[in-house]
Amino acid sequence: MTPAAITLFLNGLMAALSAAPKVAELYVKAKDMVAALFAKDLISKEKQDAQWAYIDAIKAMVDAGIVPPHFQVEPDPE
Amino acid sequence: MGKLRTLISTVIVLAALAVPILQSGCRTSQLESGGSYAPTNSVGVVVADKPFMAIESAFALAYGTLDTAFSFERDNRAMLWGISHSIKHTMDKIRPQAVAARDAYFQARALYVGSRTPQSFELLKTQLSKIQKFSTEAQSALPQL
Repeated sequence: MTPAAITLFLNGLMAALSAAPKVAELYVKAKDMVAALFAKDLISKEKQDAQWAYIDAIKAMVDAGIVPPHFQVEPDPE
Repeated sequence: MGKLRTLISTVIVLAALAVPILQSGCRTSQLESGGSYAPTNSVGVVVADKPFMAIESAFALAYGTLDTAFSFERDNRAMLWGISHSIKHTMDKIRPQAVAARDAYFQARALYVGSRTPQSFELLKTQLSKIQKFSTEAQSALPQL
Protein backbone atom coordinates (compact mmCIF):
# COMPACT_ATOMS: atom_id res chain seq x y z
CA MET A 1 0.00 0.00 0.00
CA THR A 2 1.53 3.33 -1.09
CA PRO A 3 1.63 6.39 1.14
CA ALA A 4 -0.78 8.10 -1.25
CA ALA A 5 -3.27 5.25 -0.86
CA ILE A 6 -2.93 5.31 2.92
CA THR A 7 -3.50 9.09 2.91
CA LEU A 8 -6.56 8.69 0.73
CA PHE A 9 -7.93 5.98 3.04
CA LEU A 10 -7.33 8.07 6.15
CA ASN A 11 -8.87 11.14 4.53
CA GLY A 12 -11.91 9.09 3.64
CA LEU A 13 -12.12 7.72 7.17
CA MET A 14 -11.84 11.21 8.67
CA ALA A 15 -14.50 12.46 6.28
CA ALA A 16 -16.79 9.62 7.30
CA LEU A 17 -16.17 10.18 11.01
CA SER A 18 -16.73 13.92 10.77
CA ALA A 19 -19.90 13.37 8.78
CA ALA A 20 -21.08 10.78 11.33
CA PRO A 21 -23.55 12.93 13.33
CA LYS A 22 -25.19 14.20 10.14
CA VAL A 23 -25.20 10.70 8.67
CA ALA A 24 -26.71 9.27 11.85
CA GLU A 25 -29.47 11.86 11.58
CA LEU A 26 -30.04 11.00 7.92
CA TYR A 27 -30.07 7.29 8.76
CA VAL A 28 -32.78 7.77 11.39
CA LYS A 29 -34.88 9.85 8.98
CA ALA A 30 -34.46 7.28 6.22
CA LYS A 31 -35.38 4.43 8.58
CA ASP A 32 -38.51 6.29 9.76
CA MET A 33 -39.50 6.98 6.16
CA VAL A 34 -39.21 3.35 5.16
CA ALA A 35 -40.98 2.22 8.35
CA ALA A 36 -43.87 4.58 7.54
CA LEU A 37 -44.08 3.14 4.03
CA PHE A 38 -44.26 -0.38 5.36
CA ALA A 39 -46.65 0.58 8.18
CA LYS A 40 -49.36 0.78 5.53
CA ASP A 41 -48.83 -2.94 5.08
CA LEU A 42 -49.31 -3.74 8.79
CA ILE A 43 -52.40 -5.45 10.16
CA SER A 44 -53.18 -3.00 12.96
CA LYS A 45 -53.62 -3.88 16.60
CA GLU A 46 -57.20 -2.65 16.35
CA LYS A 47 -58.06 -5.06 13.52
CA GLN A 48 -56.41 -7.95 15.33
CA ASP A 49 -58.24 -7.14 18.56
CA ALA A 50 -61.60 -6.73 16.80
CA GLN A 51 -61.29 -10.15 15.19
CA TRP A 52 -60.19 -11.74 18.47
CA ALA A 53 -63.16 -10.15 20.26
CA TYR A 54 -65.61 -11.48 17.64
CA ILE A 55 -64.26 -14.99 18.00
CA ASP A 56 -64.13 -14.65 21.77
CA ALA A 57 -67.85 -13.85 21.77
CA ILE A 58 -68.58 -17.09 19.89
CA LYS A 59 -66.27 -18.96 22.28
CA ALA A 60 -68.24 -17.56 25.22
CA MET A 61 -71.41 -19.03 23.71
CA VAL A 62 -69.73 -22.38 23.17
CA ASP A 63 -68.37 -22.40 26.73
CA ALA A 64 -71.85 -21.61 28.05
CA GLY A 65 -73.34 -24.43 25.97
CA ILE A 66 -75.55 -21.99 24.10
CA VAL A 67 -76.91 -22.97 20.70
CA PRO A 68 -78.66 -20.01 19.01
CA PRO A 69 -82.26 -20.73 17.88
CA HIS A 70 -81.38 -20.48 14.19
CA PHE A 71 -78.78 -23.23 14.66
CA GLN A 72 -81.43 -25.57 16.11
CA VAL A 73 -83.71 -27.97 14.27
CA GLU A 74 -87.32 -26.86 14.67
CA PRO A 75 -90.60 -28.45 13.59
CA ASP A 76 -91.68 -27.97 9.99
CA PRO A 77 -94.23 -25.25 9.32
CA GLU A 78 -97.85 -26.47 9.15
CA MET B 1 -13.20 16.60 0.59
CA GLY B 2 -16.73 17.99 0.36
CA LYS B 3 -17.52 15.70 -2.57
CA LEU B 4 -16.08 12.68 -0.74
CA ARG B 5 -18.18 13.47 2.33
CA THR B 6 -21.28 13.79 0.15
CA LEU B 7 -20.50 10.49 -1.56
CA ILE B 8 -20.00 8.68 1.74
CA SER B 9 -23.21 10.18 3.15
CA THR B 10 -25.14 9.13 0.05
CA VAL B 11 -23.83 5.57 0.22
CA ILE B 12 -24.71 5.29 3.91
CA VAL B 13 -28.21 6.71 3.40
CA LEU B 14 -28.86 4.31 0.50
CA ALA B 15 -27.70 1.45 2.70
CA ALA B 16 -30.02 2.68 5.45
CA LEU B 17 -32.92 2.64 3.02
CA ALA B 18 -31.97 -0.79 1.74
CA VAL B 19 -31.68 -2.51 5.14
CA PRO B 20 -35.34 -2.31 6.21
CA ILE B 21 -36.47 -3.14 2.68
CA LEU B 22 -34.23 -6.19 2.59
CA GLN B 23 -35.32 -7.19 6.09
CA SER B 24 -38.96 -7.14 5.13
CA GLY B 25 -38.21 -9.00 1.92
CA CYS B 26 -41.16 -9.94 -0.23
CA ARG B 27 -43.52 -10.59 2.70
CA THR B 28 -47.08 -9.33 2.51
CA SER B 29 -48.95 -7.74 5.43
CA GLN B 30 -47.35 -8.11 8.87
CA LEU B 31 -48.95 -7.97 12.27
CA GLU B 32 -48.55 -4.82 14.31
CA SER B 33 -46.93 -5.83 17.59
CA GLY B 34 -49.11 -5.67 20.67
CA GLY B 35 -52.21 -6.91 18.87
CA SER B 36 -54.08 -10.04 19.94
CA TYR B 37 -52.22 -12.14 17.37
CA ALA B 38 -48.84 -10.50 18.05
CA PRO B 39 -48.63 -10.16 21.82
CA THR B 40 -45.48 -9.50 23.80
CA ASN B 41 -44.46 -12.42 25.98
CA SER B 42 -43.10 -12.35 29.54
CA VAL B 43 -39.58 -11.57 28.39
CA GLY B 44 -40.66 -8.71 26.14
CA VAL B 45 -40.45 -10.60 22.86
CA VAL B 46 -43.24 -10.10 20.32
CA VAL B 47 -44.72 -13.47 19.35
CA ALA B 48 -46.56 -12.78 16.08
CA ASP B 49 -48.66 -15.63 14.74
CA LYS B 50 -49.87 -14.57 11.30
CA PRO B 51 -50.89 -18.09 10.17
CA PHE B 52 -53.14 -18.37 13.24
CA MET B 53 -54.72 -15.02 12.45
CA ALA B 54 -55.30 -16.17 8.87
CA ILE B 55 -57.07 -19.32 10.13
CA GLU B 56 -59.20 -17.25 12.48
CA SER B 57 -60.09 -14.81 9.70
CA ALA B 58 -61.25 -17.74 7.59
CA PHE B 59 -63.24 -19.12 10.53
CA ALA B 60 -64.87 -15.74 11.17
CA LEU B 61 -65.94 -15.54 7.53
CA ALA B 62 -67.21 -19.13 7.33
CA TYR B 63 -69.04 -19.00 10.65
CA GLY B 64 -70.51 -15.59 9.86
CA THR B 65 -71.81 -16.90 6.54
CA LEU B 66 -73.29 -19.99 8.21
CA ASP B 67 -74.90 -17.83 10.88
CA THR B 68 -76.43 -15.56 8.23
CA ALA B 69 -77.72 -18.48 6.13
CA PHE B 70 -79.38 -20.20 9.11
CA SER B 71 -80.79 -16.91 10.34
CA PHE B 72 -82.16 -16.01 6.91
CA GLU B 73 -83.85 -19.40 6.53
CA ARG B 74 -85.46 -19.16 9.99
CA ASP B 75 -86.60 -15.54 9.49
CA ASN B 76 -88.11 -16.32 6.07
CA ARG B 77 -89.20 -19.89 6.75
CA ALA B 78 -92.79 -19.56 5.66
CA MET B 79 -91.84 -17.98 2.34
CA LEU B 80 -89.01 -20.46 1.69
CA TRP B 81 -91.27 -23.41 2.68
CA GLY B 82 -93.61 -22.28 -0.05
CA ILE B 83 -90.77 -22.35 -2.58
CA SER B 84 -89.44 -25.75 -1.55
CA HIS B 85 -89.55 -27.95 1.56
CA SER B 86 -86.05 -29.18 0.79
CA ILE B 87 -84.54 -25.80 1.77
CA LYS B 88 -85.43 -26.26 5.43
CA HIS B 89 -84.76 -29.99 5.34
CA THR B 90 -81.28 -29.44 3.90
CA MET B 91 -80.54 -26.78 6.49
CA ASP B 92 -81.83 -29.08 9.24
CA LYS B 93 -79.32 -31.75 8.19
CA ILE B 94 -76.50 -29.20 8.34
CA ARG B 95 -77.52 -27.57 11.64
CA PRO B 96 -76.47 -30.23 14.17
CA GLN B 97 -73.30 -30.96 12.19
CA ALA B 98 -72.45 -27.25 12.15
CA VAL B 99 -72.88 -27.03 15.92
CA ALA B 100 -70.61 -30.04 16.43
CA ALA B 101 -68.04 -28.57 14.01
CA ARG B 102 -68.19 -25.21 15.81
CA ASP B 103 -67.52 -26.88 19.17
CA ALA B 104 -64.73 -29.00 17.69
CA TYR B 105 -63.09 -25.88 16.24
CA PHE B 106 -62.96 -24.25 19.65
CA GLN B 107 -61.56 -27.39 21.26
CA ALA B 108 -58.82 -27.44 18.63
CA ARG B 109 -58.30 -23.72 19.14
CA ALA B 110 -57.84 -24.13 22.88
CA LEU B 111 -55.35 -26.92 22.20
CA TYR B 112 -53.40 -24.77 19.76
CA VAL B 113 -53.35 -21.69 21.99
CA GLY B 114 -52.10 -23.86 24.84
CA SER B 115 -49.42 -25.56 22.76
CA ARG B 116 -48.54 -24.11 19.38
CA THR B 117 -47.27 -27.17 17.59
CA PRO B 118 -47.53 -28.07 13.88
CA GLN B 119 -49.82 -30.97 14.86
CA SER B 120 -52.25 -28.76 16.80
CA PHE B 121 -52.16 -26.26 13.94
CA GLU B 122 -53.07 -28.97 11.43
CA LEU B 123 -55.96 -30.06 13.67
CA LEU B 124 -57.19 -26.46 13.74
CA LYS B 125 -57.05 -26.33 9.94
CA THR B 126 -59.01 -29.60 9.71
CA GLN B 127 -61.78 -28.25 11.96
CA LEU B 128 -61.84 -25.01 9.98
CA SER B 129 -62.33 -26.94 6.73
CA LYS B 130 -65.44 -28.60 8.20
CA ILE B 131 -66.99 -25.25 9.07
CA GLN B 132 -66.16 -23.98 5.59
CA LYS B 133 -67.79 -27.06 4.04
CA PHE B 134 -71.02 -26.55 5.99
CA SER B 135 -70.98 -22.84 5.21
CA THR B 136 -70.83 -23.61 1.49
CA GLU B 137 -73.57 -26.23 1.77
CA ALA B 138 -75.88 -23.88 3.69
CA GLN B 139 -75.41 -21.13 1.13
CA SER B 140 -76.09 -23.56 -1.71
CA ALA B 141 -79.34 -24.70 -0.05
CA LEU B 142 -80.80 -21.21 -0.32
CA PRO B 143 -82.49 -20.14 -3.57
CA GLN B 144 -79.92 -18.77 -5.99
CA LEU B 145 -80.76 -15.71 -8.05
